Formats: sequence, structure tokens, C-alpha cells
Amino acid sequence: MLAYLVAVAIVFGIYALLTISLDLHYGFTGLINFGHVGFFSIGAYASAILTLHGLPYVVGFAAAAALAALSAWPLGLLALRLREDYLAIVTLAFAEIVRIVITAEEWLTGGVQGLSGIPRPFAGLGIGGAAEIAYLGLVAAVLLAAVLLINRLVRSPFGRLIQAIRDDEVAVTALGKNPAGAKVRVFAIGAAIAGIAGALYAHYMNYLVPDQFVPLVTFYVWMAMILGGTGRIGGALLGTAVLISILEGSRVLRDIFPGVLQVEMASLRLALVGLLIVLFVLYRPDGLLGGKTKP
Amino acid sequence: MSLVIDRVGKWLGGVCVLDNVSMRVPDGGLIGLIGPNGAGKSTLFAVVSGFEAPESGTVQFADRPLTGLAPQARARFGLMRTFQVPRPFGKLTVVENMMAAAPSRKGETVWAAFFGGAAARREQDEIRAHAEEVITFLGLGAVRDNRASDLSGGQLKLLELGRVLMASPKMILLDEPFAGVNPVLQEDISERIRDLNARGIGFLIVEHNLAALSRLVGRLYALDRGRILAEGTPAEVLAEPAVRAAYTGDAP
Amino acid sequence: MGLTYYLGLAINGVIEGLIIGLAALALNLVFAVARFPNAATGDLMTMGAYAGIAVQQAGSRNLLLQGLAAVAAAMALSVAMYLFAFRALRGRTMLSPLLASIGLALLARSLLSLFVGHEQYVFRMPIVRPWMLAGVPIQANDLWLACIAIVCVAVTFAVLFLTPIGRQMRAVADDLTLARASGIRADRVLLALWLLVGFICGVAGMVLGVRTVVMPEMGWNILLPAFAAAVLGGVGSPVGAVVAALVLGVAQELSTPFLGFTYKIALSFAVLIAILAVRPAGLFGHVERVR
Repeated sequence: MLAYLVAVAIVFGIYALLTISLDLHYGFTGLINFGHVGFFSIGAYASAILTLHGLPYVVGFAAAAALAALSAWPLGLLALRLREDYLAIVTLAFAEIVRIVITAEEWLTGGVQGLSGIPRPFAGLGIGGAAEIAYLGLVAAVLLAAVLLINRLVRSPFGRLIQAIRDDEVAVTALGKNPAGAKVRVFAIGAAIAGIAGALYAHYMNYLVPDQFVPLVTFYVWMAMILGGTGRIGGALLGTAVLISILEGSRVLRDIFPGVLQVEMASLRLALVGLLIVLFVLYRPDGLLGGKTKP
Repeated sequence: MSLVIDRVGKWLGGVCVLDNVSMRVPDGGLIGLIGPNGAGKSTLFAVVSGFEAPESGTVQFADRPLTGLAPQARARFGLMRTFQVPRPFGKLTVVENMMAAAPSRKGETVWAAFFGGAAARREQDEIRAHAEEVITFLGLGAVRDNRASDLSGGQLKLLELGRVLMASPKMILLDEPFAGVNPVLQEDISERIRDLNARGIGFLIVEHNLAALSRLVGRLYALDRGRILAEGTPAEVLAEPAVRAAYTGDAP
Repeated sequence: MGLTYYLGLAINGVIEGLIIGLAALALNLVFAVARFPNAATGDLMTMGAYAGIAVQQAGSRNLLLQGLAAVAAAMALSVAMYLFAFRALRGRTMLSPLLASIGLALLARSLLSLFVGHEQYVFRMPIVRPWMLAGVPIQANDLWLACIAIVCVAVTFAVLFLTPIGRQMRAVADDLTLARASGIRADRVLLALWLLVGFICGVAGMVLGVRTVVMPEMGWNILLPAFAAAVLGGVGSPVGAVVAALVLGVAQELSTPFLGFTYKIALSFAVLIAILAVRPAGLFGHVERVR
């Protein structure tokens, strides 16, 4: 039982990092990012590949953050000039291009077969679940750091600026300020956090395949963000909790109803996520905690 | 710091919206611009503030040609504008709106968020003090901690003006400051404008409320269908048959 | 790799392009009239295909009947989506109906798998020997499908440009306030829009289903190429969307020997990003004015 809870908590932590970083993009700055899984995948594969070649975990994590942030830079520049719906489509296209590249470059990523045997920090702690708990500690520490970082950022003058950009970018320019730099930086910071989440995911799962990084993951995170209420860190965490309940809850149901096929559970999960997105957009756009951005 | 609009022409969708428009707002001037709907007043503001590029003519501010400059750049030179329909930062409070409007190149960075130190804190304190001053000046003290989206129409107009003031402008293009505002508040706003003008800030004011505008400004331009019909004192301009005709739609 | 090879690819590309073109046309119409990208377009197509399969499984091999079922199902679902979600979201920003369409897409796809399962279905077509044109094999089926697609496009354009409701749709697309002021009733126009979109998606779903296999992901998979075509062709131009789709389809196929199967799909995405980087308003779009 404990092992199961620890596993759920680790998955919660990883998704929470994705949700708060997406919230930084959209909830706080108004950037519509439908390609978040792209940063997640870049971070995951970067850390996996480097550690599989024997480099230390620190290097893997640093590379995950750096490469994800770097990939966000050109997207951020595009975000400056594109209207909302085009940005949504372009970010989605970006994530799919990343996935296609990962699939194609077998020599680097293992292609469709993927990478396996990815090392995990604390694996040497042996049996009894100590290794898992230690890993949970790592995830929790990273999540805490990210929460503190984002919190500090959004409460600062920079944070005020990005929220002003979210609320009315035209007014910001009319006041003599340039939204460009701020938007690009926010894109990069959020991407870096998603990249680190990817690294945590890779080392936890021990294997990576491109199919783990489909657009659906981005939409799961969007659901979590909307549900909890955009523009609030607490909302992002709450939304993630609901998402994890849905993702894990179906597993529990399967234990209760052993006749139900796993495939059907997956469909039920998907249906619930889709339904919740529609219902919340229609009837509770401010989310459970009352967000700061009506989508 | 005078504003010189010289023979500006602008076409939109095959229609000539501004035709050879020339105007001058001297340093510290208080000038009005009137005209019926569709006269081109908003387009003129858009051209002067840099949101639209004219097909012909130039705009100069403080002897500096503004051609090709983005709105941000023009605003940084001290030429600022408000919008006809206020554009508040809806989810921020009034105080935050004001503080967000104050220039703070070094303060509003990611670096400063984490490593700002005492100097950054000092700058924020100064900005906050300035914001409180402007809030008091405009009479928005009661709602200083309210979200901008909760403000009334008149309060939003005041907030528009307040934000622009935070940026220490030399000249303000005011777009219909009295629209949708009750007469008492209109008088209030007029008072503030006179006050600011006395401190040296120039104004070019577009307004439909001819009576209120005439009491406020010393000089008026009348625009109709992209052309300047008349200029002079309010009394002179409003007496012009062409101007009256433009408003009533009769032939002059 | 002679000319016949490339010709074969090109012809393949034209068929693919036509299918993407139908989806792009459906997207384009919603973009223009309802002003949001409809991510449920692909799944409307999938539903149509499944309706056709249902008729086949029920015993009828009549392709026309199957096609009618597909169109009816897609039209019904399209209107249902409008009534259930999009209508209530009319005043809100573009992101609301976009997100709702994503939710609806996920919902539709998952309910389908739940009730119908994940196996792939195939439309049983009569086996016909391919024609040879200048050494290039052309499947008769492909020709039929191309014709059907072209007819669908033609019917759509006829509705748009020759009927009063089509004129009203274009008026709403041009300027909503002006259209309303001229007495055009938005509800009727939108209802007609979603019926038309459903019609196109039903046809597209059938064509795609006949040409490939019917599975829950089928529509979603061509959504992004369709978006690329719609944006490239110009959000305001239905003709542009179809033309862009054809160009993309042919370019994609012709690039196969150079890019390989995996990367050729990325071509349309890369082209999309490249064009928007240079022209942020799209090839034929314009930037919105600030007053």
C-alpha cells in the first residue's frame, strides 16, 4: 500500500511541475501553449541519453532544463507576433515535430523502441521501498523549489508586468513598455521547469518511448490547470490532484471490477477528462478555486 | 515638446480616412478635437500614437520625427495616449495597475525578482509612493485595493488617466475622457486636466461632449470625413456653419 | 527512380491533399464564421466513418447508403456540439470554444472506443484492377474518391456563394456587427454553418475511411496537417484552404524519397511554422487593428 501511495505521489509531483509551468505560461502571462509536452519530452530524453552515457545526474537535469529552455526561445519569438489561435496551432506543431524527430533519430533516441535501462538516483538504496521514498523526496524537493521560484517571480515587478501583458498587452505597449522580452523569458522559464519534470519522469520510468509524449499529455495538463483555476499556484496543484485521481482512480476501479479491460479504462479516463474540460469551460471557467484568467 | 501633425493621409479598406490633416499642439497646450462619428478622430490618434502608419505626411514630437517608431518608443519620449474604451489590467488591483505603468527597466526583470536587493526595493517603494499620490490626486483612494475589473465606467476612465500619469508624460492624447461619465465626475476630470496642464503637461483631447470640452480647452480643431473643417477658439469653431452642418448632416 | 515513380507519388499526394482539403475546408469555415479553430473536426470525420461502417456491419454493402449514414451522423453530431457547447460560448474569447472543442474531441473519441472497441474496420470494396496511365497505376477507387471529394468541395462552394444562407455566412465572417445590424440572425447562420461542416466532415470521413482504415484515431491524425493547410491557405479563404491542402499533400508525398516516411509528415508542420515566422498573419491574412 505504501509503495503504491509513494508511486502516486511521484506521478503527482511530476504532473504538478508541468501544471504550474503551464500556468506560468497561460495563467500568468496569457501565452496559449499547446505544445507543453514538447518541453517535457526534450527534458526527458536529454537527461536519459546523457545519464545512459555515464554522465552524472546533475548534468542530466541541467541539460534537461537548458535544452528545453533553449527550444522555447524561438517559439517565444514566434509568440510575440502570432495571434492566439495561430500560436496554439504552432506550439502543437512544435511538440509533434519534436516527437517525430525523436521517433526518426533512432541512433540517438532508440526511435520507436525507445530507451530502456535509464538509471535512477538512489537506486542503490536497495529493497524495502527506501529507494522509492528517496526518489519521492527528490521530486518533492524539486516541486517545492519550483513553487517557491514561481511564487517569487509572480509577486515581483516582473510578475506584475507579465500579468499586465496577460490582461492587456496593447495597454502595456501604449505605456511605453515592450512585452517582447518578458514573454520570451517566461516561455523559457516555464519550458525549463517542464524539462526538469521530464528528467524526473525519465529516471522514474526507467524507459522512454515516443508514445509517452503525445499531445494528449498537454491536454491533461490543460485540464488540470483549468480545473484548479488559472493564475493561481494553489489552483494548479489542486487541479493536478484531481487529474491524478482520474488517472489513478481508474486503476483502482480496475481492481474492484477485474473484468474491465485496461483498454476500456483508458477510454473511460479519456472521456472523463474530455467531459471535464467541456463542463468547466462552459460552467466554471474560473476553476474550482476561482482563477485569474477566464479562458 | 510640441506635437506637429503635418499633412497626414491615411487610407483604410479603400476609403480615405484622413485627408491632408495638419494640426499643432504647442508645448503645454490644451487643445481639443471634435467631429461627428466616423470623422477619423480615432484613426488620427492611432496614427499619432504609432498603432497605425500613415500613407503620407509626418508626425513630429519635440522636433523629433516619429515615422516608423513603435507605440512603445513614442510613449517613452513622453507622448502617451488613453483609449476610448479603457484598457485596464483587469485582474490587477488599482494600485497594481498604477505600479505596473511606472517605468522600471531594471526593476521589472527576472534577475531583479531574485537578486534585486535593497536598491530594487527602494525603487519599488518610490513607485508605490508615486502611485499613492496619483491615486489620491484622482480620488481613487477608496478603491485602491479593488480589482480593476470591479470598477465603474467613470473610475476606469480615471484609472486610464492615472496609469498614463505614472509614466510622467509630456503630452497626453486623451480619447473621450468624458464618455459614459456622470456630470459631477466630468467636472472632476476637467479640474484634474487643468491642474496637470498647469504643471506643464500638454493635452490633445478628443471629445463628443462639446459643452464640457469648450469649457476646458482654449483651442479647438473640427474634423469631418478626414478633413479639418475649422480651427480656432471653441466659440469660433462651433459657430462655423460647416461644423454645424457636419454634426446635423445638413448641407452647409 | 523514374518519372513514373514521382508521378505515382504526386497522384497519391493529390488524393491525400483532397482529403486534407476537405478537413481544411471544414476548419476554415468555422475559423471564418465562428472564429475559432475547431479541434473536433477530425473526430467528426471519424464518427462519420464509423456510421458508414455500422451500415456495412448491419449487412448493407451499398456504399451510397453508408455514405449517407456517414453524412447524417456527422451532421447530427456537429449540430449537437454546437447546441451543447459552442452556442453558449459565443461571447467569450477564442480559447473557450477551442478548449471545448478539444474536450469534445476527446469525449467523442473515447466514447467511440468504449462502445465500439479499438479494432480497426475496413470498408469492403470490390477489388478492381488498377488502370495504367503512362505507366502509373491508378486505382479506380482513388478516382471515385477524388471525384466525391471534388463534388463535396463544389457543393460547399455552391452553398457559400450561390445561396442566401451562404451569403449570410460570408457576411458574418466578414463583419459580425455589420451583419447583425443588417438583420442577419446569427443563430440561423450558425446552425447552417454546423450542418455544412458536418456534411463536409461526413464525406471526408467516408473518403478517408475507404482509402485507409477506420479506427478511433483516424480523424485526429489528419487534424494538424489540416490546420496547417487552413492557416497556410488563409483563414478567410475557403479556396485557399483547399489549394494549400493540395499543395501540401503533393509536396508531402514528393518529399518521401528525400525525407523518408517519418519526416515527411513533419513537412507540413515545418512549412506552417516557417510561413508564420515570416508572415505572422498567415499567407493571406491581415493583422487586427488597434483603435
